[in-house]
Amino acid sequence: MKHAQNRPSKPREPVRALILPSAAMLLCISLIPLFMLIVFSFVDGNVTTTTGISGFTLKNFLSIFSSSTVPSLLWKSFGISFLVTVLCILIGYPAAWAIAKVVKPRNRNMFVMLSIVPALVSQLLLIYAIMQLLQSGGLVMNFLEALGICSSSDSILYSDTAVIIVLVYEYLPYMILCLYSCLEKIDDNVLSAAHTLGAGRGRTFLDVVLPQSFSGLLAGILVIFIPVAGSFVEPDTVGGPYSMMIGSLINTQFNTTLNMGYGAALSFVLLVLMSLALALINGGMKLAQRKIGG
Amino acid sequence: MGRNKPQGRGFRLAMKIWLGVTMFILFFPIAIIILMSFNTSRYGTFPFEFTLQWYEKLFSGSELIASTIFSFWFSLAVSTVSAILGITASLALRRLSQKWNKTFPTLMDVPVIVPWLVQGVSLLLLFNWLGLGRSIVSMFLGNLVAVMPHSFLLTYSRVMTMSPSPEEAGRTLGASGFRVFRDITFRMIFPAVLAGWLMSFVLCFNCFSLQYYLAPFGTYTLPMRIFTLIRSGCEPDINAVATIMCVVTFLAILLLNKIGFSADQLFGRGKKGS
Repeated sequence: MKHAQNRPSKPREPVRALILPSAAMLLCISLIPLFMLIVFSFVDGNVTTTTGISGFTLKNFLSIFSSSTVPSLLWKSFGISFLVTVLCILIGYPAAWAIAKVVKPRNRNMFVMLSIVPALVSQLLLIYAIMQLLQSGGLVMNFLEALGICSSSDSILYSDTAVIIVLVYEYLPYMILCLYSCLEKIDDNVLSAAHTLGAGRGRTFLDVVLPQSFSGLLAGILVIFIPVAGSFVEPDTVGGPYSMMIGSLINTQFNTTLNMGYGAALSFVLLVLMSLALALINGGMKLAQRKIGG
Repeated sequence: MGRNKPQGRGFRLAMKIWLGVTMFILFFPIAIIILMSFNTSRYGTFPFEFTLQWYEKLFSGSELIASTIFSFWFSLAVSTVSAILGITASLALRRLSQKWNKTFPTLMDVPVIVPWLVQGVSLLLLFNWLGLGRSIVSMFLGNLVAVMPHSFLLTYSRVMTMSPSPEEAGRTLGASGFRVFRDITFRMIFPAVLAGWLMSFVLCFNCFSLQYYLAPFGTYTLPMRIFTLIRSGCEPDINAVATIMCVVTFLAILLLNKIGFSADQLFGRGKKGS
Protein backbone atom coordinates (compact mmCIF):
# COMPACT_ATOMS: atom_id res chain seq x y z
CA MET A 1 0.00 0.00 0.00
CA LYS A 2 1.32 3.41 -0.91
CA HIS A 3 0.17 5.57 1.94
CA ALA A 4 2.02 8.70 1.09
CA GLN A 5 0.19 9.55 -2.09
CA ASN A 6 -3.22 8.92 -0.61
CA ARG A 7 -2.64 11.19 2.29
CA PRO A 8 -4.43 14.54 1.89
CA SER A 9 -1.95 17.27 1.16
CA LYS A 10 -2.75 19.36 4.23
CA PRO A 11 -2.61 17.16 7.32
CA ARG A 12 -5.10 18.19 9.97
CA GLU A 13 -3.40 17.49 13.21
CA PRO A 14 -6.27 17.01 15.71
CA VAL A 15 -7.43 13.94 13.79
CA ARG A 16 -4.34 12.13 14.96
CA ALA A 17 -5.69 12.04 18.51
CA LEU A 18 -8.48 9.76 17.30
CA ILE A 19 -6.05 6.87 17.48
CA LEU A 20 -6.04 7.14 21.26
CA PRO A 21 -9.21 5.22 22.17
CA SER A 22 -8.27 2.21 20.04
CA ALA A 23 -4.65 2.33 21.10
CA ALA A 24 -5.67 2.51 24.75
CA MET A 25 -8.05 -0.41 24.28
CA LEU A 26 -5.43 -2.49 22.57
CA LEU A 27 -2.84 -1.68 25.20
CA CYS A 28 -5.00 -2.09 28.29
CA ILE A 29 -7.17 -5.02 27.27
CA SER A 30 -4.86 -7.07 25.14
CA LEU A 31 -1.19 -6.33 25.66
CA ILE A 32 -1.09 -5.50 29.39
CA PRO A 33 -3.19 -8.56 30.32
CA LEU A 34 -0.76 -10.77 28.43
CA PHE A 35 2.08 -9.20 30.36
CA MET A 36 0.15 -9.62 33.61
CA LEU A 37 -0.33 -13.27 32.74
CA ILE A 38 3.42 -13.70 32.95
CA VAL A 39 3.52 -11.88 36.28
CA PHE A 40 0.65 -13.91 37.72
CA SER A 41 2.28 -17.16 36.68
CA PHE A 42 4.81 -16.53 39.45
CA VAL A 43 2.08 -16.07 42.05
CA ASP A 44 1.23 -18.87 44.43
CA GLY A 45 -2.43 -19.88 44.63
CA ASN A 46 -5.40 -17.72 43.79
CA VAL A 47 -5.56 -14.10 42.68
CA THR A 48 -8.27 -12.04 44.31
CA THR A 49 -8.77 -8.46 45.35
CA THR A 50 -8.87 -9.20 49.04
CA THR A 51 -5.61 -11.09 49.38
CA GLY A 52 -3.67 -9.29 46.69
CA ILE A 53 -0.36 -10.69 45.62
CA SER A 54 1.56 -11.96 48.59
CA GLY A 55 4.80 -12.93 46.94
CA PHE A 56 6.43 -14.48 43.97
CA THR A 57 7.53 -18.06 43.61
CA LEU A 58 8.75 -20.51 41.01
CA LYS A 59 6.50 -23.18 42.48
CA ASN A 60 4.05 -23.20 39.55
CA PHE A 61 6.72 -23.81 36.98
CA LEU A 62 8.45 -26.41 39.11
CA SER A 63 5.24 -28.36 39.51
CA ILE A 64 4.53 -28.10 35.77
CA PHE A 65 7.90 -29.48 34.78
CA SER A 66 7.99 -32.16 37.45
CA SER A 67 4.46 -33.43 36.81
CA SER A 68 3.92 -36.33 34.48
CA THR A 69 0.48 -35.28 33.24
CA VAL A 70 1.25 -31.79 31.93
CA PRO A 71 3.91 -32.81 29.38
CA SER A 72 1.73 -35.66 28.13
CA LEU A 73 -1.28 -33.33 27.88
CA LEU A 74 0.81 -30.78 25.97
CA TRP A 75 2.09 -33.51 23.70
CA LYS A 76 -1.42 -34.79 23.11
CA SER A 77 -2.86 -31.32 22.46
CA PHE A 78 -0.24 -30.51 19.86
CA GLY A 79 -0.67 -33.99 18.38
CA ILE A 80 -4.42 -33.52 18.00
CA SER A 81 -3.77 -30.06 16.61
CA PHE A 82 -1.37 -31.50 14.05
CA LEU A 83 -3.81 -34.23 13.05
CA VAL A 84 -6.71 -31.78 12.69
CA THR A 85 -4.57 -29.44 10.59
CA VAL A 86 -3.46 -32.27 8.29
CA LEU A 87 -7.03 -33.53 7.90
CA CYS A 88 -8.21 -30.01 7.07
CA ILE A 89 -5.50 -29.69 4.42
CA LEU A 90 -6.30 -33.09 2.90
CA ILE A 91 -10.03 -32.39 2.72
CA GLY A 92 -9.73 -28.68 2.03
CA TYR A 93 -7.11 -28.62 -0.71
CA PRO A 94 -9.09 -30.43 -3.42
CA ALA A 95 -12.24 -28.58 -2.39
CA ALA A 96 -10.50 -25.20 -2.62
CA TRP A 97 -9.02 -26.21 -5.96
CA ALA A 98 -12.46 -27.17 -7.22
CA ILE A 99 -13.89 -23.80 -6.19
CA ALA A 100 -10.97 -21.83 -7.61
CA LYS A 101 -10.42 -23.64 -10.89
CA VAL A 102 -13.18 -26.07 -11.76
CA VAL A 103 -16.46 -24.41 -10.79
CA LYS A 104 -17.87 -21.79 -13.18
CA PRO A 105 -16.33 -18.39 -12.34
CA ARG A 106 -19.63 -16.73 -11.50
CA ASN A 107 -20.42 -19.41 -8.92
CA ARG A 108 -17.07 -19.18 -7.15
CA ASN A 109 -17.89 -16.45 -4.70
CA MET A 110 -21.12 -18.18 -3.80
CA PHE A 111 -19.31 -21.41 -2.99
CA VAL A 112 -16.75 -19.64 -0.81
CA MET A 113 -19.45 -17.72 1.01
CA LEU A 114 -21.42 -20.93 1.51
CA SER A 115 -18.42 -22.74 2.89
CA ILE A 116 -17.88 -20.15 5.63
CA VAL A 117 -21.48 -20.26 6.85
CA PRO A 118 -20.78 -23.23 9.19
CA ALA A 119 -17.77 -21.40 10.62
CA LEU A 120 -19.86 -18.37 11.42
CA VAL A 121 -22.73 -20.28 12.95
CA SER A 122 -21.95 -20.52 16.64
CA GLN A 123 -19.24 -23.00 17.66
CA LEU A 124 -21.55 -24.36 20.35
CA LEU A 125 -24.34 -24.95 17.86
CA LEU A 126 -21.95 -26.89 15.64
CA ILE A 127 -20.90 -29.01 18.58
CA TYR A 128 -24.54 -29.59 19.44
CA ALA A 129 -25.37 -30.52 15.85
CA ILE A 130 -22.59 -33.07 15.66
CA MET A 131 -23.50 -34.50 19.04
CA GLN A 132 -27.00 -35.10 17.71
CA LEU A 133 -25.59 -37.00 14.74
CA LEU A 134 -23.04 -39.05 16.62
CA GLN A 135 -25.06 -39.99 19.68
CA SER A 136 -25.97 -43.63 20.07
CA GLY A 137 -29.10 -44.25 18.04
CA GLY A 138 -28.31 -41.12 16.02
CA LEU A 139 -28.24 -41.00 12.26
CA VAL A 140 -24.54 -41.71 11.75
CA MET A 141 -24.57 -44.64 14.14
CA ASN A 142 -27.64 -46.12 12.44
CA PHE A 143 -25.94 -45.69 9.10
CA LEU A 144 -22.78 -47.38 10.31
CA GLU A 145 -24.88 -50.22 11.68
CA ALA A 146 -26.57 -50.62 8.31
CA LEU A 147 -23.13 -50.95 6.78
CA GLY A 148 -22.35 -53.59 9.37
CA ILE A 149 -19.44 -51.67 10.87
CA CYS A 150 -20.75 -51.35 14.38
CA SER A 151 -23.91 -51.53 16.42
CA SER A 152 -26.08 -48.42 16.62
CA SER A 153 -26.10 -48.48 20.39
CA ASP A 154 -22.33 -47.87 20.39
CA SER A 155 -21.22 -44.35 19.90
CA ILE A 156 -18.00 -42.60 19.04
CA LEU A 157 -19.30 -39.65 21.02
CA TYR A 158 -17.31 -38.90 24.20
CA SER A 159 -13.97 -39.97 22.77
CA ASP A 160 -10.91 -38.43 21.17
CA THR A 161 -12.32 -39.37 17.77
CA ALA A 162 -15.39 -37.24 18.40
CA VAL A 163 -13.20 -34.33 19.52
CA ILE A 164 -11.18 -34.57 16.31
CA ILE A 165 -14.30 -34.80 14.14
CA VAL A 166 -15.80 -31.70 15.76
CA LEU A 167 -12.54 -29.75 15.45
CA VAL A 168 -12.11 -30.63 11.77
CA TYR A 169 -15.69 -29.64 11.17
CA GLU A 170 -15.19 -26.29 12.87
CA TYR A 171 -11.94 -25.34 11.19
CA LEU A 172 -12.26 -26.81 7.69
CA PRO A 173 -13.98 -23.67 6.32
CA TYR A 174 -10.97 -21.54 7.30
CA MET A 175 -8.58 -23.84 5.45
CA ILE A 176 -10.76 -23.80 2.34
CA LEU A 177 -10.94 -20.02 2.52
CA CYS A 178 -7.18 -19.53 2.94
CA LEU A 179 -6.29 -21.97 0.17
CA TYR A 180 -8.94 -20.63 -2.17
CA SER A 181 -7.66 -17.07 -2.00
CA CYS A 182 -4.23 -18.32 -3.12
CA LEU A 183 -5.26 -20.89 -5.70
CA GLU A 184 -7.60 -18.42 -7.32
CA LYS A 185 -4.65 -16.17 -8.18
CA ILE A 186 -2.76 -18.85 -10.10
CA ASP A 187 -2.77 -17.88 -13.76
CA ASP A 188 -4.57 -20.40 -15.97
CA ASN A 189 -2.06 -19.69 -18.72
CA VAL A 190 0.75 -20.90 -16.50
CA LEU A 191 -1.13 -24.16 -15.99
CA SER A 192 -1.65 -24.52 -19.73
CA ALA A 193 2.01 -23.72 -20.32
CA ALA A 194 3.07 -26.44 -17.90
CA HIS A 195 0.78 -28.84 -19.72
CA THR A 196 2.05 -27.81 -23.15
CA LEU A 197 5.62 -28.23 -22.02
CA GLY A 198 4.81 -31.80 -21.13
CA ALA A 199 4.49 -31.64 -17.39
CA GLY A 200 2.24 -34.31 -15.96
CA ARG A 201 -0.39 -33.57 -13.38
CA GLY A 202 1.86 -34.46 -10.46
CA ARG A 203 4.73 -32.40 -11.81
CA THR A 204 2.47 -29.37 -12.41
CA PHE A 205 1.15 -29.66 -8.88
CA LEU A 206 4.60 -29.86 -7.30
CA ASP A 207 6.28 -27.21 -9.45
CA VAL A 208 3.51 -24.73 -10.18
CA VAL A 209 0.50 -25.07 -7.93
CA LEU A 210 2.03 -26.00 -4.59
CA PRO A 211 4.69 -23.25 -4.48
CA GLN A 212 2.08 -20.63 -5.33
CA SER A 213 -0.29 -21.84 -2.66
CA PHE A 214 2.31 -21.82 0.12
CA SER A 215 1.18 -18.51 1.61
CA GLY A 216 -2.42 -19.72 1.79
CA LEU A 217 -1.34 -23.01 3.26
CA LEU A 218 0.69 -21.18 5.89
CA ALA A 219 -2.20 -18.87 6.74
CA GLY A 220 -4.52 -21.86 7.01
CA ILE A 221 -2.12 -23.77 9.23
CA LEU A 222 -1.75 -20.79 11.57
CA VAL A 223 -5.48 -20.21 11.72
CA ILE A 224 -6.07 -23.83 12.65
CA PHE A 225 -3.05 -25.12 14.52
CA ILE A 226 -2.87 -22.43 17.22
CA PRO A 227 -6.50 -22.29 18.36
CA VAL A 228 -6.96 -26.06 18.16
CA ALA A 229 -3.98 -26.64 20.45
CA GLY A 230 -5.65 -24.41 23.01
CA SER A 231 -9.19 -25.71 22.69
CA PHE A 232 -11.12 -26.68 25.79
CA VAL A 233 -14.78 -26.53 24.81
CA GLU A 234 -14.64 -29.53 22.48
CA PRO A 235 -12.92 -31.97 24.88
CA ASP A 236 -15.28 -30.73 27.60
CA THR A 237 -18.44 -31.40 25.61
CA VAL A 238 -17.84 -34.27 23.19
CA GLY A 239 -14.70 -35.73 24.76
CA GLY A 240 -14.68 -38.62 27.19
CA PRO A 241 -13.09 -38.77 30.64
CA TYR A 242 -9.65 -39.24 29.08
CA SER A 243 -10.02 -36.68 26.30
CA MET A 244 -8.61 -33.79 28.30
CA MET A 245 -6.40 -31.37 26.43
CA ILE A 246 -4.12 -28.71 27.85
CA GLY A 247 -6.91 -26.15 27.43
CA SER A 248 -9.18 -28.23 29.66
CA LEU A 249 -6.53 -28.32 32.36
CA ILE A 250 -6.12 -24.54 32.23
CA ASN A 251 -9.88 -24.16 32.31
CA THR A 252 -10.09 -26.38 35.43
CA GLN A 253 -7.61 -24.16 37.26
CA PHE A 254 -9.91 -21.19 36.77
CA ASN A 255 -13.35 -22.69 37.12
CA THR A 256 -13.00 -25.67 39.43
CA THR A 257 -9.85 -25.86 41.52
CA LEU A 258 -9.32 -22.07 41.50
CA ASN A 259 -5.54 -22.28 41.42
CA MET A 260 -5.14 -19.25 39.22
CA GLY A 261 -1.40 -18.85 39.57
CA TYR A 262 -0.89 -22.39 38.33
CA GLY A 263 -3.39 -21.78 35.52
CA ALA A 264 -1.52 -18.63 34.50
CA ALA A 265 1.75 -20.55 34.45
CA LEU A 266 0.16 -23.25 32.27
CA SER A 267 -1.19 -20.60 29.88
CA PHE A 268 2.22 -18.99 29.75
CA VAL A 269 3.91 -22.30 28.92
CA LEU A 270 1.25 -22.92 26.27
CA LEU A 271 1.86 -19.48 24.74
CA VAL A 272 5.61 -20.04 24.64
CA LEU A 273 5.20 -23.46 23.02
CA MET A 274 2.77 -21.99 20.51
CA SER A 275 5.24 -19.28 19.57
CA LEU A 276 7.89 -21.97 19.12
CA ALA A 277 5.50 -24.00 16.98
CA LEU A 278 4.72 -20.87 14.95
CA ALA A 279 8.41 -20.21 14.37
CA LEU A 280 8.95 -23.86 13.41
CA ILE A 281 6.04 -23.85 10.96
CA ASN A 282 7.20 -20.56 9.46
CA GLY A 283 10.76 -21.82 9.12
CA GLY A 284 9.67 -25.18 7.77
CA MET A 285 7.45 -23.60 5.16
CA LYS A 286 10.21 -21.24 4.06
CA LEU A 287 12.63 -24.14 3.76
CA ALA A 288 10.14 -26.19 1.78
CA GLN A 289 9.41 -23.24 -0.45
CA ARG A 290 13.08 -22.75 -1.20
CA LYS A 291 13.50 -26.48 -1.90
CA ILE A 292 10.59 -26.64 -4.30
CA GLY A 293 11.22 -23.13 -5.56
CA GLY A 294 8.26 -20.81 -5.39
CA MET B 1 -8.49 -22.87 -18.75
CA GLY B 2 -6.70 -24.08 -21.88
CA ARG B 3 -9.97 -25.72 -22.92
CA ASN B 4 -9.90 -28.47 -20.35
CA LYS B 5 -6.47 -29.62 -21.32
CA PRO B 6 -4.38 -29.09 -18.18
CA GLN B 7 -7.10 -30.70 -16.15
CA GLY B 8 -8.56 -33.73 -17.84
CA ARG B 9 -12.28 -34.27 -17.80
CA GLY B 10 -12.08 -37.11 -15.29
CA PHE B 11 -9.94 -35.04 -12.97
CA ARG B 12 -12.35 -32.12 -13.10
CA LEU B 13 -15.25 -34.40 -12.37
CA ALA B 14 -13.41 -35.94 -9.43
CA MET B 15 -12.69 -32.46 -8.03
CA LYS B 16 -16.33 -31.48 -8.44
CA ILE B 17 -17.48 -34.59 -6.64
CA TRP B 18 -14.97 -33.93 -3.88
CA LEU B 19 -16.30 -30.40 -3.49
CA GLY B 20 -19.84 -31.70 -3.45
CA VAL B 21 -19.03 -34.23 -0.74
CA THR B 22 -17.19 -31.59 1.32
CA MET B 23 -20.14 -29.21 1.09
CA PHE B 24 -22.43 -32.06 2.02
CA ILE B 25 -20.32 -32.87 5.08
CA LEU B 26 -20.25 -29.21 6.10
CA PHE B 27 -23.98 -28.73 5.80
CA PHE B 28 -25.33 -32.13 6.75
CA PRO B 29 -25.37 -31.60 10.54
CA ILE B 30 -26.91 -28.15 10.14
CA ALA B 31 -29.53 -29.49 7.75
CA ILE B 32 -30.44 -32.26 10.18
CA ILE B 33 -30.82 -29.76 13.02
CA ILE B 34 -33.10 -27.60 10.90
CA LEU B 35 -35.14 -30.65 9.94
CA MET B 36 -35.36 -31.79 13.56
CA SER B 37 -36.62 -28.42 14.70
CA PHE B 38 -39.80 -29.20 12.78
CA ASN B 39 -40.04 -32.78 13.99
CA THR B 40 -42.39 -33.90 16.74
CA SER B 41 -40.00 -36.43 18.25
CA ARG B 42 -38.03 -35.17 21.20
CA TYR B 43 -34.89 -37.17 20.58
CA GLY B 44 -34.22 -36.52 16.94
CA THR B 45 -35.63 -39.79 15.74
CA PHE B 46 -37.77 -40.67 12.77
CA PRO B 47 -40.50 -40.97 11.45
CA PHE B 48 -40.75 -37.30 10.68
CA GLU B 49 -43.92 -35.55 11.80
CA PHE B 50 -44.18 -31.85 11.13
CA THR B 51 -44.72 -29.58 14.08
CA LEU B 52 -44.07 -26.02 15.20
CA GLN B 53 -44.28 -26.89 18.88
CA TRP B 54 -40.57 -26.28 19.57
CA TYR B 55 -40.84 -22.77 18.18
CA GLU B 56 -43.90 -22.21 20.33
CA LYS B 57 -42.01 -23.48 23.34
CA LEU B 58 -39.04 -21.31 22.46
CA PHE B 59 -41.08 -18.14 22.13
CA SER B 60 -43.20 -18.77 25.20
CA GLY B 61 -40.54 -17.55 27.57
CA SER B 62 -37.87 -20.22 27.36
CA GLU B 63 -34.45 -19.49 28.85
CA LEU B 64 -32.97 -19.84 25.41
CA ILE B 65 -34.89 -16.94 23.97
CA ALA B 66 -33.96 -14.72 26.91
CA SER B 67 -30.28 -15.54 26.34
CA THR B 68 -30.65 -14.96 22.60
CA ILE B 69 -32.13 -11.52 23.18
CA PHE B 70 -29.39 -10.69 25.67
CA SER B 71 -26.70 -11.91 23.26
CA PHE B 72 -28.25 -9.85 20.47
CA TRP B 73 -28.19 -6.54 22.36
CA PHE B 74 -24.79 -7.28 23.83
CA SER B 75 -23.25 -8.06 20.43
CA LEU B 76 -24.95 -5.02 18.93
CA ALA B 77 -23.34 -2.77 21.53
CA VAL B 78 -19.90 -4.40 21.20
CA SER B 79 -19.88 -4.35 17.41
CA THR B 80 -21.07 -0.74 17.25
CA VAL B 81 -18.31 0.43 19.58
CA SER B 82 -15.86 -1.74 17.64
CA ALA B 83 -16.96 -0.11 14.36
CA ILE B 84 -16.55 3.38 15.82
CA LEU B 85 -13.09 2.56 17.15
CA GLY B 86 -12.20 1.11 13.75
CA ILE B 87 -13.22 4.31 11.99
CA THR B 88 -11.43 6.65 14.38
CA ALA B 89 -8.23 4.60 14.37
CA SER B 90 -8.18 4.32 10.57
CA LEU B 91 -8.77 8.05 10.07
CA ALA B 92 -6.06 8.90 12.57
CA LEU B 93 -3.58 6.48 11.03
CA ARG B 94 -4.00 8.22 7.69
CA ARG B 95 -2.44 11.31 9.24
CA LEU B 96 0.14 9.50 11.30
CA SER B 97 3.66 8.53 10.36
CA GLN B 98 4.71 5.47 8.40
CA LYS B 99 5.99 3.96 11.64
CA TRP B 100 2.54 4.07 13.24
CA ASN B 101 1.10 2.55 10.10
CA LYS B 102 3.47 -0.35 10.43
CA THR B 103 3.23 -0.94 14.16
CA PHE B 104 -0.44 -0.40 14.88
CA PRO B 105 -1.92 -2.92 12.43
CA THR B 106 0.68 -5.47 13.58
CA LEU B 107 -0.27 -4.98 17.21
CA MET B 108 -3.92 -5.26 16.20
CA ASP B 109 -3.09 -8.82 15.15
CA VAL B 110 -2.16 -9.79 18.70
CA PRO B 111 -5.73 -10.36 19.93
CA VAL B 112 -6.31 -12.34 16.73
CA ILE B 113 -3.31 -14.65 17.19
CA VAL B 114 -3.54 -15.28 20.93
CA PRO B 115 -6.11 -18.03 21.58
CA TRP B 116 -9.32 -16.75 23.14
CA LEU B 117 -8.82 -19.11 26.08
CA VAL B 118 -5.52 -17.48 27.00
CA GLN B 119 -6.96 -14.03 26.36
CA GLY B 120 -9.91 -14.84 28.60
CA VAL B 121 -7.69 -16.22 31.34
CA SER B 122 -5.38 -13.21 31.34
CA LEU B 123 -8.29 -10.77 31.35
CA LEU B 124 -9.94 -12.60 34.22
CA LEU B 125 -6.71 -12.41 36.20
CA LEU B 126 -6.33 -8.71 35.49
CA PHE B 127 -9.95 -7.86 36.29
CA ASN B 128 -9.83 -9.97 39.44
CA TRP B 129 -6.76 -8.13 40.56
CA LEU B 130 -8.31 -4.76 39.77
CA GLY B 131 -11.45 -5.73 41.67
CA LEU B 132 -13.68 -5.64 38.62
CA GLY B 133 -13.98 -9.42 38.55
CA ARG B 134 -16.59 -11.04 36.35
CA SER B 135 -18.97 -8.34 35.28
CA ILE B 136 -20.80 -6.95 32.27
CA VAL B 137 -18.04 -4.35 31.91
CA SER B 138 -15.32 -7.02 31.88
CA MET B 139 -17.26 -9.09 29.39
CA PHE B 140 -17.87 -6.05 27.22
CA LEU B 141 -14.21 -5.02 27.16
CA GLY B 142 -13.03 -8.58 26.59
CA ASN B 143 -15.34 -9.17 23.66
CA LEU B 144 -14.60 -5.74 22.27
CA VAL B 145 -10.88 -6.37 22.06
CA ALA B 146 -11.51 -9.77 20.48
CA VAL B 147 -13.60 -8.41 17.62
CA MET B 148 -12.03 -4.95 17.23
CA PRO B 149 -9.24 -6.13 14.88
CA HIS B 150 -11.77 -7.38 12.36
CA SER B 151 -13.67 -4.13 11.96
CA PHE B 152 -10.43 -2.15 12.15
CA LEU B 153 -8.61 -4.06 9.40
CA LEU B 154 -11.54 -3.85 6.99
CA THR B 155 -12.06 -0.13 7.53
CA TYR B 156 -8.34 0.59 7.56
CA SER B 157 -7.64 -1.03 4.20
CA ARG B 158 -10.53 0.91 2.68
CA VAL B 159 -9.39 4.24 4.14
CA MET B 160 -5.85 3.67 2.93
CA THR B 161 -6.79 2.81 -0.62
CA MET B 162 -9.47 5.42 -1.28
CA SER B 163 -8.77 8.59 -3.19
CA PRO B 164 -8.39 11.73 -1.07
CA SER B 165 -9.60 14.06 -3.85
CA PRO B 166 -13.33 14.16 -2.94
CA GLU B 167 -12.49 15.15 0.61
CA GLU B 168 -10.04 17.78 -0.54
CA ALA B 169 -12.66 19.16 -2.89
CA GLY B 170 -15.13 19.37 -0.03
CA ARG B 171 -12.62 21.15 2.13
CA THR B 172 -11.70 23.60 -0.64
CA LEU B 173 -15.37 24.41 -1.03
CA GLY B 174 -15.42 25.40 2.63
CA ALA B 175 -16.99 22.39 4.39
CA SER B 176 -16.09 21.96 8.04
CA GLY B 177 -14.07 18.93 9.14
CA PHE B 178 -17.14 17.24 10.54
CA ARG B 179 -19.18 17.99 7.46
CA VAL B 180 -16.48 16.46 5.24
CA PHE B 181 -16.50 13.36 7.40
CA ARG B 182 -20.28 13.00 7.46
CA ASP B 183 -21.00 13.77 3.83
CA ILE B 184 -17.91 12.44 2.09
CA THR B 185 -15.54 10.23 4.07
CA PHE B 186 -18.18 8.23 5.88
CA ARG B 187 -20.11 7.57 2.69
CA MET B 188 -16.96 6.37 0.98
CA ILE B 189 -15.96 3.96 3.72
CA PHE B 190 -19.49 2.86 4.57
CA PRO B 191 -19.41 -0.57 2.87
CA ALA B 192 -16.20 -1.48 4.69
CA VAL B 193 -17.58 -0.19 7.99
CA LEU B 194 -20.78 -2.16 7.51
CA ALA B 195 -18.85 -5.32 6.65
CA GLY B 196 -16.62 -4.86 9.71
CA TRP B 197 -19.63 -4.19 11.88
CA LEU B 198 -21.41 -7.33 10.69
CA MET B 199 -18.29 -9.46 11.14
CA SER B 200 -17.80 -8.09 14.65
CA PHE B 201 -21.41 -8.77 15.44
CA VAL B 202 -21.28 -12.38 14.29
CA LEU B 203 -17.94 -13.04 15.98
CA CYS B 204 -19.00 -11.39 19.23
CA PHE B 205 -22.25 -13.34 19.23
CA ASN B 206 -20.23 -16.56 19.11
CA CYS B 207 -17.29 -15.57 21.26
CA PHE B 208 -17.95 -18.27 23.84
CA SER B 209 -14.57 -18.51 25.57
CA LEU B 210 -14.39 -14.86 26.58
CA GLN B 211 -18.02 -14.74 27.67
CA TYR B 212 -17.55 -17.92 29.66
CA TYR B 213 -14.65 -16.40 31.53
CA LEU B 214 -15.87 -12.86 32.01
CA ALA B 215 -19.67 -13.03 32.29
CA PRO B 216 -21.01 -12.26 35.76
CA PHE B 217 -22.60 -15.21 37.56
CA GLY B 218 -26.20 -15.64 36.53
CA THR B 219 -25.78 -13.90 33.18
CA TYR B 220 -26.07 -16.25 30.25
CA THR B 221 -25.32 -15.45 26.66
CA LEU B 222 -26.70 -17.84 24.07
CA PRO B 223 -23.46 -19.84 23.61
CA MET B 224 -23.15 -20.15 27.40
CA ARG B 225 -26.75 -21.33 27.67
CA ILE B 226 -26.21 -23.93 24.96
CA PHE B 227 -23.02 -25.06 26.69
CA THR B 228 -24.95 -25.65 29.91
CA LEU B 229 -27.79 -27.39 28.12
CA ILE B 230 -25.43 -29.68 26.17
CA ARG B 231 -23.83 -30.81 29.37
CA SER B 232 -27.02 -31.30 31.33
CA GLY B 233 -29.13 -32.93 28.64
CA CYS B 234 -30.66 -31.62 25.49
CA GLU B 235 -33.75 -29.54 25.06
CA PRO B 236 -35.30 -29.82 21.61
CA ASP B 237 -35.90 -26.09 21.43
CA ILE B 238 -32.13 -25.76 20.88
CA ASN B 239 -32.97 -27.02 17.39
CA ALA B 240 -35.35 -24.13 16.90
CA VAL B 241 -32.80 -21.56 18.11
CA ALA B 242 -30.14 -23.18 15.93
CA THR B 243 -32.40 -22.93 12.90
CA ILE B 244 -33.05 -19.26 13.50
CA MET B 245 -29.32 -18.62 14.00
CA CYS B 246 -28.41 -20.44 10.80
CA VAL B 247 -30.94 -18.47 8.81
CA VAL B 248 -29.73 -15.18 10.31
CA THR B 249 -26.07 -16.05 9.66
CA PHE B 250 -26.93 -17.04 6.13
CA LEU B 251 -28.72 -13.74 5.55
CA ALA B 252 -25.79 -11.80 7.00
CA ILE B 253 -23.41 -13.60 4.62
CA LEU B 254 -25.74 -12.90 1.71
CA LEU B 255 -25.86 -9.24 2.67
CA LEU B 256 -22.05 -9.03 2.88
CA ASN B 257 -21.83 -10.65 -0.52
CA LYS B 258 -24.31 -8.10 -1.87
CA ILE B 259 -22.25 -5.16 -0.60
CA GLY B 260 -19.45 -6.71 -2.58
CA PHE B 261 -17.21 -8.28 0.00
CA SER B 262 -15.66 -11.60 -0.81
CA ALA B 263 -14.97 -14.09 1.92
CA ASP B 264 -11.21 -13.67 2.03
CA GLN B 265 -11.52 -9.91 2.38
CA LEU B 266 -13.75 -10.39 5.40
CA PHE B 267 -11.36 -12.63 7.21
CA GLY B 268 -8.26 -10.97 5.86
CA ARG B 269 -5.42 -12.24 7.92
CA GLY B 270 -7.89 -12.76 10.71
CA LYS B 271 -9.42 -15.79 12.27
CA LYS B 272 -11.89 -16.83 14.81
CA GLY B 273 -10.35 -18.58 17.77
CA SER B 274 -11.40 -21.04 20.33
